[in-house]
Amino acid sequence: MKRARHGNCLIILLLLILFFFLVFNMSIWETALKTLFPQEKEVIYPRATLAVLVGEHLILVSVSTLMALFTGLLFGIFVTRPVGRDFLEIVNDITALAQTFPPVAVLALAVPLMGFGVKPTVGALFLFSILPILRNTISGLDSLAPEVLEAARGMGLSRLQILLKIELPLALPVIMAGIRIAVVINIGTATVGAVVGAGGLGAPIISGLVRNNPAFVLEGAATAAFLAVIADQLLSSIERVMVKTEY
Amino acid sequence: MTEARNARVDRISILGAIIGVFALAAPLLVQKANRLASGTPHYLWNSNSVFALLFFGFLYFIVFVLTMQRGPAKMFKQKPRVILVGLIGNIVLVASFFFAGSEARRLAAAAAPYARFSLGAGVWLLSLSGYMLIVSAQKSVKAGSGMNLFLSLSGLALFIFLFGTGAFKDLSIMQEYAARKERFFQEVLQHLRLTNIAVAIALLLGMPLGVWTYRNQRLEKPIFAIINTIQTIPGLALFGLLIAPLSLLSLRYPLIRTLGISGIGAAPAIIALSLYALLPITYNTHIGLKTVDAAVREAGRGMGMSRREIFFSIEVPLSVPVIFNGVRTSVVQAVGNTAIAALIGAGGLGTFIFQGLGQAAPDLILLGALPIIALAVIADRSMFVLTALITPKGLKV
Amino acid sequence: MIELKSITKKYSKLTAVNEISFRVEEGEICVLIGPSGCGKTTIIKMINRMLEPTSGEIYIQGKNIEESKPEILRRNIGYVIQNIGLFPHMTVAENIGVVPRLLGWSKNSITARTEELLDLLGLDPDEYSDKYPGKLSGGEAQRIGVARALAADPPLLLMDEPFGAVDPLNRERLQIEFLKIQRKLKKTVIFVTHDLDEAIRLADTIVLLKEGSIIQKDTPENMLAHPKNRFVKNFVGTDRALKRLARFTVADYLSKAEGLCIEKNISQCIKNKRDKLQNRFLWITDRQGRLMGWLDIEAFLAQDDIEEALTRVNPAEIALGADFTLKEALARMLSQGVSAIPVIDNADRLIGEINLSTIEKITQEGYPK
Ligand SMILES: Nc1ncnc2c1ncn2[C@@H]1O[C@H](COP(=O)(O)OP(=O)(O)OP(=O)(O)O)[C@@H](O)[C@H]1O
Ligand SMILES: [Mg+2]
Repeated sequence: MKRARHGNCLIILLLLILFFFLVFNMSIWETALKTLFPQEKEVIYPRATLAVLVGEHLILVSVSTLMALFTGLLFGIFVTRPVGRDFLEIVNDITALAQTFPPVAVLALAVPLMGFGVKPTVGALFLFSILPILRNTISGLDSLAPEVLEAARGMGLSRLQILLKIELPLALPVIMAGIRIAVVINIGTATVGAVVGAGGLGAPIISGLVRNNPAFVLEGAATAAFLAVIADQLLSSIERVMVKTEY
Repeated sequence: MTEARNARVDRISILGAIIGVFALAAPLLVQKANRLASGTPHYLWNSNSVFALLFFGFLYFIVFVLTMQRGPAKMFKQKPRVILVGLIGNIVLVASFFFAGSEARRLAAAAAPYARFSLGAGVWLLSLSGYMLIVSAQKSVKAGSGMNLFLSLSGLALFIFLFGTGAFKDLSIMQEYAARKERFFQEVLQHLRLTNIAVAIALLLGMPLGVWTYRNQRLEKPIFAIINTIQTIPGLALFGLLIAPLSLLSLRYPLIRTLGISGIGAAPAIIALSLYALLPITYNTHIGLKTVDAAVREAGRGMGMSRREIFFSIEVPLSVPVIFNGVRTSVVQAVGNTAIAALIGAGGLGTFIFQGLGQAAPDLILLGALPIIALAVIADRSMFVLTALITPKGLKV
Repeated sequence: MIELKSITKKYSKLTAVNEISFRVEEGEICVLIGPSGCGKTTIIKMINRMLEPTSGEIYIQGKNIEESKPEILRRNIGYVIQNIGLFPHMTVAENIGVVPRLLGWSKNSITARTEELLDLLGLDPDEYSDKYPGKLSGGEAQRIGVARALAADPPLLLMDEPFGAVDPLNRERLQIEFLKIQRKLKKTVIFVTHDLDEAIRLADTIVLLKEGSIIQKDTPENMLAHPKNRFVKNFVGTDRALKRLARFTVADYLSKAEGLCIEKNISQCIKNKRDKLQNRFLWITDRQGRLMGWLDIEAFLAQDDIEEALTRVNPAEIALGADFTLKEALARMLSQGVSAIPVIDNADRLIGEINLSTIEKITQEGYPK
């Protein structure tokens, strides 16, 4: 078991190294894309280096996810306390409903309200990533065995202590899964953010599509795909470690 | 979630009504000198249609009365109350657009020729409020029943009727629509076509794959690892990744080109969309089969059912609700992802969104985004109904 | 009817069933019992070919089961599985009709059969036919499980802890009903349990297993009286003498009761008989022979007043029916502090009595000094 976990970490580490190597080594891209698309004069997206694009992308994703994490946790904790119980059902129903709204449509709707650029993108990503985090926070906190809480209360822990020392740690793996889903969705939606001028890895893809240059498209698409897969792997391995150390 | 709970006008409808009351104070319309200019708001109270204000006020008053557990509402049983709230929700939903439309017509008569009237926050909040009332009512009505269907569709029918009479034609979004009427329907059809073909392919692949991984435990991990990875790849990136290989293929092989397959257009879109739709369907098929009670399967075997009989008369019916849930997720996702397909020239409603973004024309963005949201919600609701209808009776609590 | 010949079943390292042979005759109930994991379910499943033995043969009515296709074989063997396993998406009637449908019965005969079986198991067909299993209580579900196994009227019935998931009270009811049905249907039954009382109540033969081998195969009476070794002794418990009493009914050990009819010239009668009477008490009946109570003879003789000396009773509370077990009779004696209990028939008529001394004699059979 332990060895398997180490192996997993090693693979993720290697993937990370490979990713950064590729991001900072534009010459490899140049050679590869040149051979693939000999007909194109320009094969590297000229307006920003990959490193900058990845940076922009990560900023979009992390700012919106952190905001969503804060909001989602707050709401999730609120509706699972006795004071907020009454709102649990509404919140559940609204999140279930909101989840049917396509992220791209939400992003598009944000533009008339907030203009172009980073703002509407972060706004849409924020709104959208609240959903998985909130849902998982609620289900994580709500599915704890009543005996455990009973025992904690019986041992004389205060409500706050129960929340901080028992409930949140036990719900953490589930919340973590929500964060992972949020991050993956956000990395995906953020690529579309390039359309509204938010930059990021979507920029070369869009530019390539507009200029009919498949090399730009591949540069952005491959990096974005790689980034998403790594983020997913990294977060899910953190999730697994949490589950194992918990129990 | 599908079964009817105890009928009661619940908090969602109260919250919906409260939102609705506040919405009455928000701008109903925003007037702009031309398509791109910024605008001046028009409110419900300073418009001539005081009638509208009274109308909404009256409806919300009824909702509040109905939510009370004592007082005059006691005359009604719970069930009719709930249904009345649902009906009011439908009326609010349609009326918000109707009053905006008629107000726009009145103002347009007096305004400069290029003046535009876009929907204000009031309309959006009112329709959200209406939607919440409908959802709250539907929870208490049996899924798949005639009443449930009526509550889902009556507003839509009325809306389409008013649409036909031209009640909305002075709204800016309708002017965008009027300017590209035929195109709009083409794109709606194209959107549906892409979504349906993708989901159909995903069904044809995903269900057998789900059965296969369920039968062969060894395949479970590797296959789901692959499908999961595909699912994590950003939509736009997946479209992008398909462009290069497909365009190379169509350059090399004229046969493929004559089939209409190239780097951009419908082919990569459908491939990417069906790859996306694969995970929920495969996963739910797998899980649905896997969670069939072992004792039940054992009983079937012990009674002399063949593997085929066990599969078709026990395992499939018992996992149908789970499988359909997966299909629902796939369909809703596909409707959204198809929007992105417009970027690689596959058409669909996303076309308007991206044109609108390109021209900085908010109404054109709406013309794409709103129908997409509507399609997603309709797909979600109708899959719910379908799932409820197809779930074997004994599995409903 | 069914014969197992040196059946062995191995799971990689573990030998779950080891060289087991036994026969079950037509119409018999054979109970397999033993601690958890001793191979009971494995044996049952080899009989309907849900599992294949590693070695050995099984014959049903003289025919090696390997000659039949598993599906066909199973359709002719009733099977109640350990966890009932009713099909949740089928109504009660559809559940019962599964095997008949597989066998291609006509719709009408399936309906008729379903109703017949529900009646047999004491469930109203009108009420239960269209119910779904989710709405049944544990006891009802168990009954349906049995009905489903009986549906195609198979001569052989395999029952794997069929009453395992119900409370003790309901379990006892189900056992009694099952015995009643079995008396009518005369199936050959192989019944798995790890409840010794259940085995004792139902079995014609008990097969006691341990770690895949037969330790003792015997009638319940014999097994309790003469446990073969220490393991069996421990298994049946120190109260085996008591348990054994459950195998005997009052009817078999009835003594003649001293009873007098109250209407006759009763005082005279008693005085005449006086020397012959050994007991202090005398059962008193009415003119139809129904038990009314008992008379304290000494008290009567001292005062010569019938009403003073007569204790009137409700027969149903005091007396036993002939189908009660000796164990129940003994329990009644101990709780009432008496050494004899009157036995009545369905119409409360006195038919005899059961004595503590009789019971003592039976318990001693198994315990040579
Ligand atoms: N598929 C299998 N693979 C390996 N071992 C098995 C398998 N099935 C059963 N066993 C083992 O065989 C032994 C006998 O199992 P079996 O189910 O027959 O016991 P049982 O007497 O019915 O027990 P219980 O009273 O708990 O139902 C057990 O030790 C069990 O662990
Ligand atoms: Mg068993």
